[in-house]
Amino acid sequence: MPKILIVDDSKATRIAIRRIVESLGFDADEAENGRAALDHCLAAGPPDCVLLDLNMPVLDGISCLRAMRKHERLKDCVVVVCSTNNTLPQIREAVAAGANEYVMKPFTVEILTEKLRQAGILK
Amino acid sequence: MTPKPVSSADYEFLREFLRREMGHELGDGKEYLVESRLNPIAASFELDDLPGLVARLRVNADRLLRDAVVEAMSIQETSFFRSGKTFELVRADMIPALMRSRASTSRLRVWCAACSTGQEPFSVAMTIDDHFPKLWDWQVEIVATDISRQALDRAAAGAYNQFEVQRGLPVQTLLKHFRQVEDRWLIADQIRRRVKFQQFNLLDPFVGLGDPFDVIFLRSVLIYFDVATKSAIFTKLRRAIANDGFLVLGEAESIIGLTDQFSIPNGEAGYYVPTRR
Repeated sequence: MPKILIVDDSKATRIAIRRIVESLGFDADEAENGRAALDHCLAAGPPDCVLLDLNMPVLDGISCLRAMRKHERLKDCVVVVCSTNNTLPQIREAVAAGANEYVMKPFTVEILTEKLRQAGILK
Repeated sequence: MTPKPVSSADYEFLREFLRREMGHELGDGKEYLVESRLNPIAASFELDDLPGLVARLRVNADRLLRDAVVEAMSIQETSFFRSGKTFELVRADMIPALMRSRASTSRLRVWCAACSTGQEPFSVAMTIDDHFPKLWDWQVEIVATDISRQALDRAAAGAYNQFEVQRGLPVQTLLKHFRQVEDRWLIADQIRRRVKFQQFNLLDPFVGLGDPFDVIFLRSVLIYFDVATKSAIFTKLRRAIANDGFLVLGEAESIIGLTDQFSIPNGEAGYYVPTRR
């Protein structure tokens, strides 16, 4: 079962995303900020995909993404950003930092599913 | 944490809301549909639950929230690069074949015969721009028609909301071909001006469309017509398409039992070609 790490400081959002990705056959874990996400990835090994919020306390999503891309064990992990930062410069910044795909919040089940497909981790 | 079920009062409100916003008639007993589709919307707006979402809809005219609810409850009939396999065939088979066969005339004509709000013809133009930019030196015509004036006006504007640009469009394509103006995403002028929109009813005679087309897209339209009408449309399509052109139907559509004027090349599904006589 492919593993996915949901990184979001909103518990309600993590729960909503967990329901969707589990229904798609993923084994989901959660982290509430970028620091916790990095710790989780290094302790448990990189998941097949990280669904990454951007605006989070402790360590924001862009900083987390940049740290992942510099880390030998995490640099190839598929990262789908999932954020309310929906302006073109913000999306461009995330892609430049190494995001494989970008989901603008609010999203629908269909959009999240399709973005996971476009990121290559869902058939 | 189990989501709260939708109350009957909230369900009635949502029925009226969807009727007003999208002409969509939500029947009885669709509470499960409302709950499964709108709970993720509530969460992504950081609202507590579905009752919280309905409460905000009742008092707030926030367009983003309205768009999100309409999007989640819609049965989408069009999207960018709809059916990725089709556009893979366009890129890998059809356009390369036509570039060889049309090299002497340097002319290519594409017809999107039920273009709705424009995603299909713009996807054709983006495919050419991304993979065959030399074709822009040719005389390329992308004609996009629809029966709906309202849909055509939207298509010609090339403006989409954030949900529409997330269906079918990889983020790299979004960044390359769109710009953002407030909460709308506008397709780049160099793509928009490649497409010519006009109103057209498939039940009318196929006149005024110009020379034969090299590719005709007619996807997920024939399903709405009876057998006799479908056969008549195939006859008109045959006259409108070049002898070595390509006809693209919807994934759930077929020519079987309707016409012998088109056939499936090499036994492969995906597109049709005029039958050689």
